[in-house]
Amino acid sequence: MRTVLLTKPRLPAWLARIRQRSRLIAPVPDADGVLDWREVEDPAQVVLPPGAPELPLKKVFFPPSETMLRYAYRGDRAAVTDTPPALEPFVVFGVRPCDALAQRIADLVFLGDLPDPYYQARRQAATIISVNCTEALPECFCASLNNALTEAPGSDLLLTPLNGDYLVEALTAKGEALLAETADDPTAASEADLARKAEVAAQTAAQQTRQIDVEGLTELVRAAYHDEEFWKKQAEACVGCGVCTFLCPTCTCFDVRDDAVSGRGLRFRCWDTCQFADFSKEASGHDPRAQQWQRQRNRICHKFWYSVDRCGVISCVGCGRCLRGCAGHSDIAAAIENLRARAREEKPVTADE
Amino acid sequence: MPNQTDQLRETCKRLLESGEVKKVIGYREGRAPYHVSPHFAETPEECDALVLTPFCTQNLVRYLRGLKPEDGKVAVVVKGCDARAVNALIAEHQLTREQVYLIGVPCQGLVDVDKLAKRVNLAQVQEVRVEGAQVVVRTAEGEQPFPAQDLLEDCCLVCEYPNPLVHDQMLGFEVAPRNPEGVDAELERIEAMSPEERQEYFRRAFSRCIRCYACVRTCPLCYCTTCFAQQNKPQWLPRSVGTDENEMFQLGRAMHLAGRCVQCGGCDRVCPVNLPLRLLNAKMAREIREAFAHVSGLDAEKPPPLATFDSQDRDIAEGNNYDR
Amino acid sequence: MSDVATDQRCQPCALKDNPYLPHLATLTLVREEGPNLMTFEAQFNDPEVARTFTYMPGQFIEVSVLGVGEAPFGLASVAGPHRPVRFSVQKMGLVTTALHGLSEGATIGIRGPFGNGFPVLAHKGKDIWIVGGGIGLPPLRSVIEYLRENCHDYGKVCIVYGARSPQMLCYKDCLLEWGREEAFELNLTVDVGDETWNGHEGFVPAYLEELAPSPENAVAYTVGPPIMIKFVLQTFDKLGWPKGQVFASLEAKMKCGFGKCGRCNVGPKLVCLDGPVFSAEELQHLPWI
Ligand SMILES: Cc1cc2nc3c(=O)[nH]c(=O)nc-3n(C[C@H](O)[C@H](O)[C@H](O)COP(=O)(O)OP(=O)(O)OC[C@H]3O[C@@H](n4cnc5c(N)ncnc54)[C@H](O)[C@@H]3O)c2cc1C
Ligand code: SF4
Ligand code: SF4
Ligand code: SF4
Ligand code: FES
Repeated sequence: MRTVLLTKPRLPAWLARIRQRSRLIAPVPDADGVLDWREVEDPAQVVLPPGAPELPLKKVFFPPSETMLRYAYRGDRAAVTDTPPALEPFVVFGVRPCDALAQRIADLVFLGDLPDPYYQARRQAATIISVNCTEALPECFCASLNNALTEAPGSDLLLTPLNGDYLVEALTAKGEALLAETADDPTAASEADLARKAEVAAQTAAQQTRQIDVEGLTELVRAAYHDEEFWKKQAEACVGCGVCTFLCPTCTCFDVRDDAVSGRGLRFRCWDTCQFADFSKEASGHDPRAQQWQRQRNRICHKFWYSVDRCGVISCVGCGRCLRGCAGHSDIAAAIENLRARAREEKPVTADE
Repeated sequence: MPNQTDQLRETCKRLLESGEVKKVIGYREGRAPYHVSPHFAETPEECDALVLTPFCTQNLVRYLRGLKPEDGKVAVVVKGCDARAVNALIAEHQLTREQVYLIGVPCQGLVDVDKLAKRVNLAQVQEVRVEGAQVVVRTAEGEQPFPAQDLLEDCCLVCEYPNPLVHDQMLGFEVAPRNPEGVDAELERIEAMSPEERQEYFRRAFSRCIRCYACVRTCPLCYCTTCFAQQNKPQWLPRSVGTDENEMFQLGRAMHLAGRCVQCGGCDRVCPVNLPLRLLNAKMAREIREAFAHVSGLDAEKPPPLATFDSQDRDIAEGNNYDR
Repeated sequence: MSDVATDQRCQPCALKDNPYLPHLATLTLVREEGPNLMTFEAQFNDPEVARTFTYMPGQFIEVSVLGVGEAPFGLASVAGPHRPVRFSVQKMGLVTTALHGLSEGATIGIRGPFGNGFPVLAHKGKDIWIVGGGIGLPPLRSVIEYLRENCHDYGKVCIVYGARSPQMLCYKDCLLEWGREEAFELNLTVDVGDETWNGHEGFVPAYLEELAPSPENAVAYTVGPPIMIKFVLQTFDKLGWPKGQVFASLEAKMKCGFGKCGRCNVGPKLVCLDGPVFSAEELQHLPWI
């Protein structure tokens, strides 16, 4: 795979060339200065603040709301048509490594044996250009969890800022092709450049003040499952909104509903979360997670246990968004520390596993 | 404000030790000074974590929801806006005065973390103090003062009632209101817009809403078990996320809060996509004040005007002209 | 996911590679079954789908009422080319109420089949105990009818079925037929009888304990309200049944039906994908009740 250098001033021209070939999506502020994944008209609009932007990359592939099918019915006759997104290839620029990895994790849910056609169509159409972090936010803790800063899994191209240059690494054939078609006479990178990249990654990692120690973590979470007092304490300040899960790049739960008037209707899906009161409430009134602490427990267990069981990965990438967004500043890394403290106190394990 | 914090801890320990209250709801510091979380103390030892800083943003009155008489008395730390929320809830029969022990904190204003981040590197921040017209930020390099105007939360800059109007005990001395005249320049800027400009401004904002319901769930006055926006029998509005639905949701919410919102800024602060919720609610508050001379939370005896019928209301007494 | 269970499931019959797209079907039978319970049979409009739509006992479908929404129901029929699909519906909320308002000839949508189903293929040659409560019988009917059609492959089939009152026993016509089957043993009970009832009175788990089935070369399948399942499993335990021989079908709130929407999890398992049928062995590690 190709690894080249691009001088910083040449970035806008490169993006402009990409933009000529296909749609380009990146963090772009609106007139109120709020960043979102928007279509880029002019490369100068792109803003890359330190850390992951407030809204996760998943929004590009799994929008907060989307129509799945339309139908018409009259008397005993009906017709249903699906509305898959027919997509031309597009490029997403300015993805942080944690988000690219998170998208890989979301793939494990949405793709697989029976893929979700809406998600798949967007995913296949996209080429992801990640831009490595040089500055970690106080809420970031990816380095303790994964290799996002060094390997950026899920990215097709990875840009790492090195003083006056970007080191551009093609990580997939898709990335390689995009680079070949759009890079304007780049300089080949040297071993020394790669070494500088490793330094940048190490420096960013060193700035991170939070950590999650993953050693034996799944077992710890499993063992704490039945410790009601522990989870109640963790969830005390939780108000039961959807911020932590809606902003989380790996949370992918959704609701499916119909909306119809006079014989015409549509079925749509929209983001949903295990934090909402009616998420798992059965029609009979029975609710396996009737209390907020049970919902928070589900969230943590999902990240560090259920995902590991089902997909073989921890589904927290350490972006810190849940902490940044939480009204009560509930800190997932602190919750894990409390879990370890609980284990150290050697509380009797009440789980039957 | 070290003395205030000591005083707070002492008070809370005493309240728990004497059995006067079952629980104390206050604030504790997170890993960073600007991450302050609600703290729930049930033992005197747990009171040692209590803090008072300019980042004590949460309206703790929200956590009184579902408090039953048999749960015993709960002590709550209240700022000016929080104390008004207590009054408003009492007026709406959601709480009785006897259920709570109010520890009043005269409030110099809260520091807006987003504004702070634009001026200093958050990772370096060690302490932040509000001192009248100044906000002093301490980092490893020393202390740096900023004009309060630049760093305080919008809702604090326009706050008329920083001193808790209702309390069982007050920590420290009353402070002078920053905005005794009730001027709200930002609101006036929006009011001065042409209807088209205003529509564009709000439609753009509504288009951003992701319907996380953080605004609803943090609000002390949004105590409906299920928000109308989430109900499905009957379904008032679709769950789908779009500018129209979001607008219906937020305008519906603003109407439900008209004359009830206490301007704590909780919803505005927590919105991940910066909807100007404070402005919507401030506008409703202003309208209600003009029409009914009612300000939410000033009087625990006075229910919100839109929830009452009074034959002396102006539109009835003077005859309404809507049918014309 | 137990291997036995995955081996035999029928994969969803997806239209245009879109598992969310329902097949249109026409109601060919709408029958009042009991208080708030109705039985429906539907035939797919597309003859090719009608010919090929296949499923195993214990799998479920997602049924759409256009304009209202979708809900999961256990299949109550046995698969076969051009055979109508049967399910019974208790009136609960939006979709179920709308279904109760439909009559023969109405168009509905059907997606599926989903879930693993009961591992009948792995249990050839065994005695099968079928334990059902209330509206748990319709999904069990798919098993019972399957066993009836393939009776030479199985040993004795013992049905233990109970409801709150004689009136609430569903599928009375089927019960009569099954009672006449030679290879079948039918045991009915009601919580509280009335003047029409001269059968057994008492809860299903208690009756099961009285009947004291032997675990020897036998397996058991149960469907019913969670609390009944809990006690039925305890009863089998008491009777010395190994946990790997008892299977229960769980209920959970569902939307997608195939592991995407995330709401039906019981601990790390997704009821729609890894279930709805779980062995008592799996259930002891799951926080399902
Ligand atoms: C595998 C499986 C098999 C099943 N088999 C059968 C069967 O054979 N027969 C049978 O009768 N049942 C069966 N069920 C149960 C059946 O699926 C439910 O009864 C059915 O889904 C109820 O749907 P509803 O639309 O009528 O109910 P609703 O409760 O109206 O559900 C519609 C939606 O509205 C929401 N909702 C409901 N009330 C409220 C509220 N107050 N506020 C906010 N939101 C609300 C719910 O969250 C739900 O998403 C089965 C379930 C499963 C999982
Ligand atoms: S759980 Fe929190 S920190 Fe982890 S990936 Fe999700 S939002 Fe980021
Ligand atoms: S509407 Fe917003 S500002 Fe008003 S009381 Fe509720 S949270 Fe506070
Ligand atoms: S907090 Fe903001 S994004 Fe969330 S529902 Fe409220 S207005 Fe919408
Ligand atoms: S019903 Fe959607 S994941 Fe199970």
